[in-house]
Amino acid sequence: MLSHLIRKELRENFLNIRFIAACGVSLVLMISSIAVLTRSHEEQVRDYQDRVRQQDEFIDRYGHLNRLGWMSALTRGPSQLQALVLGVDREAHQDNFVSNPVPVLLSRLDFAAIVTIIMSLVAILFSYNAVSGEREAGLLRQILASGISRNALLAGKFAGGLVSLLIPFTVSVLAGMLFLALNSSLQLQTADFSVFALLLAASWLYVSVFHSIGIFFSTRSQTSGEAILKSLFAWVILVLVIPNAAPFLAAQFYPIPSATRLAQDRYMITDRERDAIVMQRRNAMLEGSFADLKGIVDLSPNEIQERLKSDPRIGERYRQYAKEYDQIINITNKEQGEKYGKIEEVFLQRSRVQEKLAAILTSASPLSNFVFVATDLTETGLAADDHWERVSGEYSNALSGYADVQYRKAVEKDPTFDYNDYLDLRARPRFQYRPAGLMERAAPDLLQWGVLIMFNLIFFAAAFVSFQRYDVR
Amino acid sequence: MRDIARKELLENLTTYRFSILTGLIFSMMLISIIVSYGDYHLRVENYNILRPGPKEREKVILPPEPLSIFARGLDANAGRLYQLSFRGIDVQPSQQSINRVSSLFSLPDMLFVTRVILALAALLFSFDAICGEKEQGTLKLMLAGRTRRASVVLGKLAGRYLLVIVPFAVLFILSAIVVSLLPDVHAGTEYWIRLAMILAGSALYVASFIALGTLISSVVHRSATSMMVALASWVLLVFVVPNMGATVAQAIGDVPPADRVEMKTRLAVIQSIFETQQSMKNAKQRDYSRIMKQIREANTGMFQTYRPELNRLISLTRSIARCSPAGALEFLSTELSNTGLSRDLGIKDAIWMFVERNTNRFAGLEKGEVEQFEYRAATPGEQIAGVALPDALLLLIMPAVLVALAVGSFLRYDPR
Repeated sequence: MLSHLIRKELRENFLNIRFIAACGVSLVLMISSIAVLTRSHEEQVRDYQDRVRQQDEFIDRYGHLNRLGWMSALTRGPSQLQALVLGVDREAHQDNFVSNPVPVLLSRLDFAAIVTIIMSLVAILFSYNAVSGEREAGLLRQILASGISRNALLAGKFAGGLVSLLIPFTVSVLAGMLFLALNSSLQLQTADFSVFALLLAASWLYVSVFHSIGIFFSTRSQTSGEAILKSLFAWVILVLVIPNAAPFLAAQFYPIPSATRLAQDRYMITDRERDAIVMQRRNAMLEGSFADLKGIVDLSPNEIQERLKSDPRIGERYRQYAKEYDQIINITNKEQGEKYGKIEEVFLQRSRVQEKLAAILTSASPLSNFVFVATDLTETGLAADDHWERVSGEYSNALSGYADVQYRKAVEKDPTFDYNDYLDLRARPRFQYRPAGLMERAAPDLLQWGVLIMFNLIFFAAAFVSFQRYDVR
Repeated sequence: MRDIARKELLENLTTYRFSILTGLIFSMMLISIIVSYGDYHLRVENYNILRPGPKEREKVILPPEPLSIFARGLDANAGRLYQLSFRGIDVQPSQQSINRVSSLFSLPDMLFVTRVILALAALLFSFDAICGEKEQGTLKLMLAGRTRRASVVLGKLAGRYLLVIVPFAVLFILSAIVVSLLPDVHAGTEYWIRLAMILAGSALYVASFIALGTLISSVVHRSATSMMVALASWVLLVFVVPNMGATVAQAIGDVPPADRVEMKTRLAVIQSIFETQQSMKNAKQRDYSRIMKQIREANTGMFQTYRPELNRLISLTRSIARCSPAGALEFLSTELSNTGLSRDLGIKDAIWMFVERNTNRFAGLEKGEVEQFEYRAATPGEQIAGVALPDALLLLIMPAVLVALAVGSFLRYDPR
C-alpha cells in the first residue's frame, strides 16, 4: 500500500510544473555558480603561488633578522573546495587598506547559499499543500474512506514528495561535482570525493527538514494558502532571522574587550616599553661592568671592527659585552612577552566564550548547523581557521628558531654583525600547508549532524501527530 | 479605480494573509532594531575607547553613523582605527570581526527586512490579484460591467500596495522615532531627511514587487502557478542577481587581490629600509630622508595603480547588481545612510591624502605639527544628485515599466 502511495505521489509530482521548475533552477544555479567560482579559484591559486614564490625570492635576497616576521608574513591559499563553499570570506574581513569593500555588502552565491536559501524554499513549495491541497480538492475524504490509514497516507506523501524533490537536486549537485572532478586545475584526492558524499548527505538532511516543515504546516492548515503562509513564516525565522541575529546578540550579551586596544597594548608592551627597558639595562651595564667600552659601542660597525682588530684585549671584552647584551634582549623579550600574554589570555578566553555562545544560539536553526558542517568539510570554516593558526604559528616558530641559530653563528664569526645585516636564509625550512584530515574535519560537527537529524524527527513526528486529529471535511 | 482599490483594501484587511504578513514584518522590524541598535552601541563604546587624544594625530577613527541602525552597510568597516605612519596605513580589525561566527552570517538590519521580507510580502499580497479572481469566477462579473480593464488592474495594484506600504511606513516612522530617542543617537534635521529618502526608496522598491506580482498574476491563469513563478522571481531578484553580480564581477574583473598589493608594498618598504641601512653603515650622519622617500614612492605607486582597478571592479559589480531592484535599493539605502561604498572609498581617499601631506612630519623630517584629520561627508542632496542617482532612477523606472507591462498583459487576459 505504501509503495503504491509513493508511486502515485511521484507520478503526480513529476508531471507538475514545480518539478520542472526545481530541475531547471537547481541545475542552472548549481552549474553556473560552481563554474564561476572555479574560474575565480583558479586565478586565486595562480596568484597565491606567484606571491609565495616572490616572497621566497625576496627572503633569499634581502633576509635579515630584524624584519623577518614582517617579510615572511604567511597568507593562506584558497581551499581546494572553495569553488563549492566559500565559507568565511576573508575578503570581507577587509584586512588591507586597499581591500575591495563590495564583499561586505554583497555576499557571493555558492553551493551552501543555493542549498540553504533556494533549495529550502523549493522544499517548502513541494510540501505545503500535501495534505491541505488534497482536502481542498475533496480527495482526502475519498482516500481515507477507501481504507488507507492516515499514517500510511502521510508516510507515502512524505516519501514521495521528498524523493521527487531530491531527484532534481541530487542530479544538479552531481553535475556540479562532476564539473569539479573533470577540472584539471583542482587535482581532487580520494578524500575530496568523500567530502562530496558527506556534503550531499548533509544537504539531503537539511532540505528534508524544510520538506517536513511544509508537511507539518499542511496538517495544521485547512487551506493551502494558510499552509504556505505559515511555512514561509517558519522559513523566514529559521533561515533568515535566527542565524543572522544570534551572533550579534551573543556579542551584546557577552561583550569582549576592545581588540584594537589589545593590539595597541601589544605594541606598547612588546615594542616601545621593551626597547626602553633594554636601553635602560644596556646603559646600566655600560656604566657598571663595561665602562671601558663606553666610547666604542656607539661607533659605526666598520670603526668598531677596526678597533677590535687593532686591540685583541678590547676584542675579547667586546665579545663578552655582545653576549651579555644579547642576554638582556632575550630576558626582556621574555618578560614583556609574559606580561602581554596575561592580558591576551583574558581576551582570548572571553572571545572564545562569546564565539561559543554565538554557535549555541545559532544552532537553533538548521541553516547554521548545515553551514558549520559544509564549511568545516570543505576547509573554509572556523575549524580550518584554527588549524591554519596552529600550523602557521608552528612554522613561524620554526623559522624564527632557525634564523636565531643562523644569527648566532654569524655573530660568533663577526661580533659586529647586526640584526639588520643580510643573513643567508636560503636553507630555511619552507612552509607547506597541509589541511586537516577528513576525520579531523568531520568529527567536531557530529553534534550538528545530530541536530539536523533531530529537526527532521521533530517536524516529521509533529506532522504525524497533527494529521491524526486533522479534520478532513 | 478608487472603488476597486477600496474593495481590495477592505477584503484583504481581515484576511489571515494580512495578519500573518504584517505580523512577520512587525516582528522582523522589532528584531532588526534591537539587534542593530545593540551592534551600533557596541561600536560607539569601542569608538569611545579608541578615540585619539588631540596630540595623537597619527590615529584616525570615525564615529559610528546612527543611520547604520537602519542600513549597516560598511559602517563597521569605516569605523575602524587607522594607524598612520611614514611606513603607510595600518588598518586595525573591527571589534565585530573578532566573533568569527558573525563572519558566516549577516546582520538583519532594516535594509535587510525591506530588501528580503518586504519584497516577499509584496509578492505574496499580489500573486493572485488577477488569476485569483479568475479562479473564483468574479473576474468575468467584474468585467461584465462598465469597468475598464486598466482601472481593474490599477485599482488592484493600488489597493494591495497600500496593504503593504501603509503598515510598513507606520512601523518605519515609529522605529525612526524610537531610535532618535535612544542614547548615543544624535537625530538632527539630516537624520530625518535621509530617513525620509530611504523610506521613499523603499516605497518604490515595494511598488516594483507589487507590480511584478500583479504582472505574473495577469499572465498565468492559476494562483498556484502564479505563486511558484512569484517565489522564483523573488529568489532570482533578491538573492541570485545581486550576489551572482558580485561573483561574476570578481571572476571577469581581472583585478589583483588586495593581498598581492599589500605584499608588493610591504616588500618594497622592507627593501628600501634594508638597502638604505646597508649603504649608511659607515656614514657618520644617518640620513633617513632617503628611506622615507622610497617608502612614500612605494606606497604612492601602489595606491595610484591599484585604486583605478579597484574602482573599475566596484563599478562593474554595481552595474550587474543594479539589474535587480534589490541591488539598486542596497546601494541607494547605504549611500543615503552614509554607510555606502562611496563613503568608504571617500574616507580612504581622505586618509590617503592626509598621509601624503604629512608623511615627513610623521617621520620627523619636517618641522611643524601634523594636521588635524578632517572628513566631510556628502550631503543628501549631493548624494542623490551624484552617486545615488542611477539607483534612484532605476527604482523609479522599474515599477513604472512593470505596471505598464501588467496593464498591457491584462488587456489581453482571458477572464473565462
